[in-house]
Amino acid sequence: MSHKFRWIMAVLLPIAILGSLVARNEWLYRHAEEVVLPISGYDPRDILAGHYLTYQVEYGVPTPCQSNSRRSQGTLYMCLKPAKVIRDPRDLENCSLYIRGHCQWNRFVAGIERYYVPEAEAENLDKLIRKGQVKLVVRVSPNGHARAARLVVEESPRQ
Amino acid sequence: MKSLDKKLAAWVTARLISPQQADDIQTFERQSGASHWMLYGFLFLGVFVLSMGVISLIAANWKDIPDSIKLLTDFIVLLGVGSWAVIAGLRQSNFHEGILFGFMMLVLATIGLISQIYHLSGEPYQAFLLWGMITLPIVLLSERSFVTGIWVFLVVISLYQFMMDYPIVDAMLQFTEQIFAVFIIVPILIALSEVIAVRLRAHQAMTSVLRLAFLLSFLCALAVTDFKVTFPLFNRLEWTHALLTQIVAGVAVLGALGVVFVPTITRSQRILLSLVWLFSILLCVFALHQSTWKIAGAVLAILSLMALLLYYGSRHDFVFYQFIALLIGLRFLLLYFTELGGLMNTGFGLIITGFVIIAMVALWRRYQSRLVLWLDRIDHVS
Repeated sequence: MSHKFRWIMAVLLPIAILGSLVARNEWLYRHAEEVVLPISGYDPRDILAGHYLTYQVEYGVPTPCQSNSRRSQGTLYMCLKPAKVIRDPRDLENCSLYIRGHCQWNRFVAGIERYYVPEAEAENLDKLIRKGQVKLVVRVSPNGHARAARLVVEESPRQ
Repeated sequence: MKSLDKKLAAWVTARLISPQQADDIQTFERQSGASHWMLYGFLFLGVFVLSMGVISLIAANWKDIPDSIKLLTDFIVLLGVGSWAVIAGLRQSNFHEGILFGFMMLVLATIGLISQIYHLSGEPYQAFLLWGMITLPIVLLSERSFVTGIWVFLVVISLYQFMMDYPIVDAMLQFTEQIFAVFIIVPILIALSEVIAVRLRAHQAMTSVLRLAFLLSFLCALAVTDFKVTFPLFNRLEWTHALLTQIVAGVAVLGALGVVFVPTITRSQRILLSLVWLFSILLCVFALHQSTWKIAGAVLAILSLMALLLYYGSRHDFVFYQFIALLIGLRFLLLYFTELGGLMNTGFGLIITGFVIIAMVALWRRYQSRLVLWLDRIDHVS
């Protein structure tokens, strides 16, 4: 393998991998079902970190995570239709739409707990989340991988 | 250049070279690439600051620009800088490494941009580990320590954090036990990487940086273990976990295998490394069994460092030698403060220790040639 070929491959490799990362996320966006989920801030001190919001997604079921460890072993599945927690993947055939995730610090996390916002809008959105006026639109792929798509602001707080 | 001037003066005095030859060498070095180190330093600084600026711009969330335009622009710039790096490399340009470093920083910025656009969650260390994996081929082809050093530093720090989050380590050990386990596993992983790099004939910069990373991570592990044995605060916590014992045993075996099979050291160096390993593992055993013999921490740590000192001395690695000697001195100081308590006792203790060390230096100077001869005999025994 010539020196020139090695250099070309070494430089093209990261570009190709990053391109595939973009392609994978684009595919997820275009072939995923949209779901709207309410969110709430779980730690007022850290609701803004840098220029992204962190929040807790409300799935309509009690949290399945009881351990206080940073990360537990095993994947959990949050079924949205109907709302329930599934631990055994063989039970997924009874669920038409689910999000896969794991337990972390006593919470279920699915990779959708962060939303990047412009600096100028961050503080206002923070206040609206605390009032319960914000919902998260999530795109969920057929195999349970979810991505945050956008935030929806409601006119009045949730009851 | 000052160190070169000193060496040239010593060689002229010893009549190894003539004064004219010394002048010719000095002139050549001033005109060669070695004198461009200041230029390279500024170049890398400029590229680094520029890259941080690009990352900050991305982080500012340019809401008014469509995501597709952001991505397209980013990949065009990435391809452009990448092509420039390849061309500069093939032409062996003086600025090749700076351009390469800029490309690597742009890759990191692109990971940040993709995370921002698609709202990807995850810890920063995960981004650095991805960056580390996809830029590894570039680092292996690079020939400068700066690019390699930055890469190894970021990947090793991310590795520590990844190990802390690893499900088995996290789920089965308490937090303080995780720290202990992670600190003794990471040096092994770095040592394995160094052996692989040597086997794959990676360039000198990579093996040198990995050797430094191993030393620093090993010293951190030694410090964590030593403090666990020496200070009562840590002794209150439960440490005798089965998994932890298995980890220490595994590290002991791998370390022993490494000492036996690492190819580039002499027999005497192998003996010294074995002593370093033996004392370190004994220290881990004391840490696991919550011994009340607190001084064991200091004794074993100092013995391990002494063996390491001799090892680096035998390799003529004088920078590492002096660094280890400083650490031994600091550990003696800490020993006297913790064990003897009062300033007067500490003062007497330090004076005695100082005399002992000076006496050892005097003995070394007197018997150095005999010791070197003895080590040579060990190396050449068939």
